[in-house]
Amino acid sequence: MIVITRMRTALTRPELMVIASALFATAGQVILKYSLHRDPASFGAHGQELTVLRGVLLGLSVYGIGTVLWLLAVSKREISYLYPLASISYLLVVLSAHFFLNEPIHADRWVGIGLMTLGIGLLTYGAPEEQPR
Amino acid sequence: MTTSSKAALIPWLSLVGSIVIGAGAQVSLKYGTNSRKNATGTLSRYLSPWVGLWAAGFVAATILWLIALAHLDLSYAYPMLGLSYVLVTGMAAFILKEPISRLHWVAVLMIGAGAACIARSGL
Repeated sequence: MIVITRMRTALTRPELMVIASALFATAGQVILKYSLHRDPASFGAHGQELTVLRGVLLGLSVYGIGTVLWLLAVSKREISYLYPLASISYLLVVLSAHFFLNEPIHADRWVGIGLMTLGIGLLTYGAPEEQPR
Repeated sequence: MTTSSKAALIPWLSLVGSIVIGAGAQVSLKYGTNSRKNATGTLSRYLSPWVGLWAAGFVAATILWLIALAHLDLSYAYPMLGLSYVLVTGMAAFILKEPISRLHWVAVLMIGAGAACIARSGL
């Protein structure tokens, strides 16, 4: 009983929820890209649109789970604490695009993604203290 | 401009449109809830035409994102969404008159520089 309670407490840690949210967001985007990334010549072939639509709906739903997890995490901890962690989704999406979708990633793209991830992390420290209204 | 080079602009314009409309929608949402700050009850704070505009913008940005994604690399298009931080910060400062610290602007510059590197890396 105690083990179950502990596991539940661990799983509802906001940090883990943010990471899970980033994983769902990444999976959603990869599914979307995979579904839309079909040979344009075969577009219009019988049944093709339905397959694409199904993939898009699945991708959006998986992405939606990520959004719900993010909202739940934010309700438990300050957004300024969780935000830098959320920027790992950029890294996850690019790594997944490379390994699952075979997209080539050149040096400038890595530099750009690194700068952006750092910048988004830094936004937190630049945020003014919440003023009581 | 030939027809084919015009067609080549569609994914890029969709991506830019998705980012701009998405960022505009966030500012609209905040503007709407700010303007109804004195409303009683949580729900009535969301009963503003600006919140309706946010919902419409959200749908439009999603559709434009799908059009962009059909043509562009995911590893090119997705990091570009980070540009919305630059736009939202700019609009928060100039339209919503929120105070923005110097460090925050440095972060925004880094994000802008990152986007420029990704744009340079080609489609």
